[in-house]
Amino acid sequence: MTWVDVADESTVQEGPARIVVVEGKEIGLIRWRERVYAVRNFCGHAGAPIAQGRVFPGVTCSAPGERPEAVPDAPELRCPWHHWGFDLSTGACTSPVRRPRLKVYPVAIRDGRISVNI
Amino acid sequence: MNGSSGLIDCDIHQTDPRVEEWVQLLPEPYRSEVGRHGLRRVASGHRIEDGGMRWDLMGEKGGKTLSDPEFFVENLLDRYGHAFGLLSGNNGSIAGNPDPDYTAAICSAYNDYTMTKWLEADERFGMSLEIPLQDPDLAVREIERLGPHPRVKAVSMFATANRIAFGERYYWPIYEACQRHRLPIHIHPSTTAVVANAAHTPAGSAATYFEMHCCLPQFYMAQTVSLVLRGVFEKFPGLRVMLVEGGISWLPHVLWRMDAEFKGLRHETPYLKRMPSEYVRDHIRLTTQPIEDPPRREHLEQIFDMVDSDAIVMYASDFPHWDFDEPAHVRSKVRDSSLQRLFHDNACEFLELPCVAHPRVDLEVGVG
Repeated sequence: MTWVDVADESTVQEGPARIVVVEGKEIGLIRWRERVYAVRNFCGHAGAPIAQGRVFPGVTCSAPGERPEAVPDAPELRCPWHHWGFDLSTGACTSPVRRPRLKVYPVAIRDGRISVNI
Repeated sequence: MNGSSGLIDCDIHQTDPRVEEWVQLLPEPYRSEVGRHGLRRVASGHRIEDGGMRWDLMGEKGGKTLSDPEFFVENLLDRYGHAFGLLSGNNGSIAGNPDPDYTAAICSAYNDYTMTKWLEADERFGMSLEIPLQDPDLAVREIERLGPHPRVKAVSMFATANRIAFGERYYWPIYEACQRHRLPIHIHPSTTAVVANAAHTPAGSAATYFEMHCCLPQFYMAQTVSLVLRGVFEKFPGLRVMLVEGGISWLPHVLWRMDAEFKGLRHETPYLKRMPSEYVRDHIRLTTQPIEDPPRREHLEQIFDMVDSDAIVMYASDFPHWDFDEPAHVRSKVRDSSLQRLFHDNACEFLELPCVAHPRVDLEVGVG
């Protein structure tokens, strides 16, 4: 595992991901609130460029018949094809079977620069 | 990719054009109405984000958007090497609309627009005609007007937006016209079932898009049974029907049930001269998207065997919609021996395309 400097923090804003290429792999840098996430730009379901999906607050519900509630600290990335959802922090599919997994990378921000641990 | 993969795609949705691009094709009083207020929209009450378009295709790319045929040429036909793609419209503005005259005017203008703007953009495009199902006489008039065009390859009907099942005599003038012009019926879902049927599903209203989308095959089951048991294919032996975006795995049950019950209830349909499943095999085709995705691939292969998929299943992408199936994704789920039939030959024969110029299908395997 190697930390690789990939971008200036100011270039990654909420909204469309910033795509960088590291060691031949496309990585999407995604900002949600104060945090930046890094994901491999490839969905394990059908091969879509998943970083071009959209981020939503996670959602939970205690029981059928109860109102769904947002979980803002557990953002979910939804794929642009088929809308499969993935936990941005862990890469786990948000369905109960938790598969497939999205490849996510640790991110560090120091002195305004983003590094990704590849 | 460079060159053709030999692929034939049975479901491509040219997006609604900007109103200013086609409003002049409408007759009055609709030209003024649509120019001033836009199209009448029939809504389902469900959240369908961005009209159901793929998010990665939104906005401008290379100076083009989803409203431009060139966008489709670059991001679909050229990218995957299509030999042919059937434009099947974007039916939200007509399916389920209660006004037959308005709907007929919209259909004609939309067909004219597709013919001039889209067919001229690339010779690989063919089109399915929009018709007003609300009035079969007006529908036949549109088929007579544009059906003879060599690049019209089908006529669109909406599986979920009708009040009368497709086997009934109400539709027979449409079927007679389609048979005469050698045009298959392209049956596709619509999100407007709630207007036509007072509910999203045969069981009642669906609270969510998710719920509605899972129930779409129910409409296809009912339409297939209606078409076969009402004797449509005895009455119109040249009629062909393609069931698009309705799934495949429900078909074995329907075939077996119809054939089994025919033995006891044949007296209710004495005009049927063959087993019900034989009419399906000879007259009906199904398309792959959204490809069913069981945990074990062999289960899908078994389903395909049960329906004789090498004879009746055809590829469709549903581009540019959110549940688009990339060719490589479908390719990863079918046997090598089925590749040529599913991605090319079945559709080529069914749509009566000139196939001699098409190469053998050559596709990469995608994520399974």
